[in-house]
Amino acid sequence: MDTKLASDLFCSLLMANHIMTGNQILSVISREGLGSIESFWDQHESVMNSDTLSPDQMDRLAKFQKSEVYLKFETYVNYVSDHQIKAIDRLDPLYPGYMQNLTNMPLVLYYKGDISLIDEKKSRVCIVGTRRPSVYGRRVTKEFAEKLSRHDLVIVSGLARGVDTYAHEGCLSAGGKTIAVMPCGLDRIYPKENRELFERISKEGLLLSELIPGQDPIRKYFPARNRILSALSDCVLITEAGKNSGTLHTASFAAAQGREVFAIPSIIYSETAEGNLSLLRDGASVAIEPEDILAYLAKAVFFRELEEIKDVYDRKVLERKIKDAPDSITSDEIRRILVDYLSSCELSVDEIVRESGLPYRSVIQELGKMELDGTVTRERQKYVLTIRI
Amino acid sequence: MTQISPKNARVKTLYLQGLEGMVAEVEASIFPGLPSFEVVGLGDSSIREAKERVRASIRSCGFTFPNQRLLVNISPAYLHKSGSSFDLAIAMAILLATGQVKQQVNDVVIYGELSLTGEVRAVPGSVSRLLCLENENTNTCIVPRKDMDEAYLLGVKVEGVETLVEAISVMSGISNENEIDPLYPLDEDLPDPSVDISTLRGQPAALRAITLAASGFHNMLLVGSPGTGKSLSARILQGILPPLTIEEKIELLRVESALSVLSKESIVSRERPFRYVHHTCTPSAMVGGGRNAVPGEISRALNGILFLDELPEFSPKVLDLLRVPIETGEMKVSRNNCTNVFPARFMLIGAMNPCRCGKCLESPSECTCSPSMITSYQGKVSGALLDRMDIYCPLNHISEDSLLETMKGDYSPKSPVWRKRVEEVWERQYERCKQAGIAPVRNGECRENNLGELFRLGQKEMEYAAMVAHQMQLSVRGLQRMVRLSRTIADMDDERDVKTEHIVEAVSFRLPNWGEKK
Repeated sequence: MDTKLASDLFCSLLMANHIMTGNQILSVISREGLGSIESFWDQHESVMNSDTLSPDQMDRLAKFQKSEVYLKFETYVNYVSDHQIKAIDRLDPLYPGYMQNLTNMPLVLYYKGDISLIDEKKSRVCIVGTRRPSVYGRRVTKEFAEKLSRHDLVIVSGLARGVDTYAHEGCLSAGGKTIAVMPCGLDRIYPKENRELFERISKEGLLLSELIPGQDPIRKYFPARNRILSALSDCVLITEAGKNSGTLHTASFAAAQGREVFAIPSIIYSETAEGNLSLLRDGASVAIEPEDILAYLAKAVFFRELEEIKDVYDRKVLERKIKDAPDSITSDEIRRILVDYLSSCELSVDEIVRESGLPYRSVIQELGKMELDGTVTRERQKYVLTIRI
Repeated sequence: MTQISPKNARVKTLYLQGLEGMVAEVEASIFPGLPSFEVVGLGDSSIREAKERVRASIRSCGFTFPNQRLLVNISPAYLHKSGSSFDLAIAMAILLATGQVKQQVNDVVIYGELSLTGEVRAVPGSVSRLLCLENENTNTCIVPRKDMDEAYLLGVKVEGVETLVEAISVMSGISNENEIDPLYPLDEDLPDPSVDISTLRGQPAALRAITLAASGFHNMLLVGSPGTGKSLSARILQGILPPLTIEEKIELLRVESALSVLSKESIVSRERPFRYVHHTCTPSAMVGGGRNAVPGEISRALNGILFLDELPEFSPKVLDLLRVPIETGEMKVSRNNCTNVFPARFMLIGAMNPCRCGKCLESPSECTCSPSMITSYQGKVSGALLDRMDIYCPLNHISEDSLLETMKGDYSPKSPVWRKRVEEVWERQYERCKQAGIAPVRNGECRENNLGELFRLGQKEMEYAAMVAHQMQLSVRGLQRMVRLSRTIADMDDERDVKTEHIVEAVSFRLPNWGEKK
């Protein structure tokens, strides 16, 4: 039996039966010094006692220990691993950093397929919308999914009927990678007619769910699933959403999580796209062509890289180096200094030389190289950082 | 000179055609018949008027003007001639023909303008005339007194005269005792420039651009708002140029003497010319022309600076005329069945505001120009001319810090130091040309096509330069100009070969894209 998977499943069961919350589990693990969830199942009897649990929780635990799943736990774990379902949890290095920082993120995520698609280095776009799209909505969804996936973007959606299905299909037909976040355990397929797509994604993409295998779809859970959709993505594109569509939940989660929301404009008399129009009125970004989204992502990626560059070098060390041995500074270091200066405002060569104290020759040569590789451009006689796409 | 008959006489004289000194022969014949005075030989009206000046001056000097039929011919008769310099030769031929003067010296060349009272006046083009004497077999050269300065500078022995009577006495074998040491000395060095290069402290980009322009004799475009020091930069550039060599000075003197703009001081000065041309300049004033084809501003800027302030204000026609001389180093002007070639090797320094109000770069919010006005303002300078600018030098208003710095003690090298450095860099360029077996030129003037070989670029560097040119969408000329600038950068570093780092720096001096200013 896979002890890691067993512990993850066990934690999910504890939470599903309201015996412990995710935070309680984490605090027990850190108090006991277990380091990871892996050994939680083996040691659960010793670490779960009246010291950590309230009487109510103790009652529910006792009840749970009499249930079939607990008594045949090993069989259950084997059933899950036979379905090629794996799990990651928040103590895993694989659990993405961009989700760690958000509140209300699941402790354990079950997956099937290529987990590298949630890597921080990849960019993801969530495409969601109504279950009953118009011809226009279908066309837009397919087209955007295709074009965006050709730019190496991962398309995230919910495998629901309508827009979600077209998003996944568009992506796969363009040879792209896609992630489906399911509202049920990964051994179930919902909706049933998407079985083929489900199988295909499990091989070519990634299926994700926070629900334990064996769990049937729960209608009231549908909105909560949307928070994972938006959390996984760099931005959310709503191709068509009705007035009270569940899709709008995704938009509000996205806004709360700091993800940009794009909406496709539509005619004002369209009933299937009323949600889009109200989103646009409320300040969502307009997506008229896939390039709108690409440009936003490029900007986001660029500034993320910029932050990395800034972090790497210790400015004070360099400043001392400029003073003491200006000739020993490498081209990389100069580039970092220049990027740093130029990221706050545009500057002329004279100003850079004065501000940085670097020799003129080094500055002009590095700027020349940067101009050639497109990192900077000259505007109004000043150097400006460009945004790479 | 031998007399053909008692009634005939001939004298050699010198005249000016474009910038070339030419030898002509003046013949005078006296026949019996009704008194008349004809001058033939394709002379213009100034030569026809010479008749009256000659008649008056011969009389006022106490000689008789022949009361017979008098014919004067100026040969070669198929070439158009002009100017008043034939006066003295015509008068002398008449006096010889009438026998009032006996010629005691042989192989005489004589020129000068006469006044009604018999004084000899100077004429334009003394230097060209005297230079053509080198190929002529002459014994004595009688010139206006004023031309003696040029003659001694050139090392030509002449007899300077102030009156017709003096010229006659030289002819009769009595030399004027006006001996001056031959080879009039040129100034040893240049005076300190009026604006020192240390004024540019706090503007390293402009400093670099100016020293590069000087070191390779490159054309440069200065762009900046009003008051950022565009004219000042051009003046500074002049101050760090090395002195003219003797050969360069003589070539310049030819131009200046043809235009009669020489003074006693300017003859001996070795300062490189700085021509500040106003934007109302006409095409012929710029490149040369006029009825008798005189050199223009571009020739007066020979081996020096042609400074065009407010470039977009110039007429587009004038600017486009500059394109050919920039490429070929000379200007051909055809007049009167003959083509005059004027030397025109100069550094073109253009200065312009970025827009009409001048504010669109530094304070765009205050700029009152509409985008279309900016485009049309910048569009007045054709792309073809911009393509010929090796260095683009942006000038910005000096910040407070830099202003402060300019008040502090000065440790940066002064102009004379830079001048020495530039001279050394030029020497390196001349030396490389010599090794390659071509005439020594500075990088900016090099008109060879195999720049890669001549300028010592490796395969890697050539590929790099081509890649850069492709990326910056440079024309072939643009690429060549960039390579020349890279060579100058390498020369300033005293590097044998051009490396990629030099090419990279040259990139930053190419003109950035105009157009998307607003």
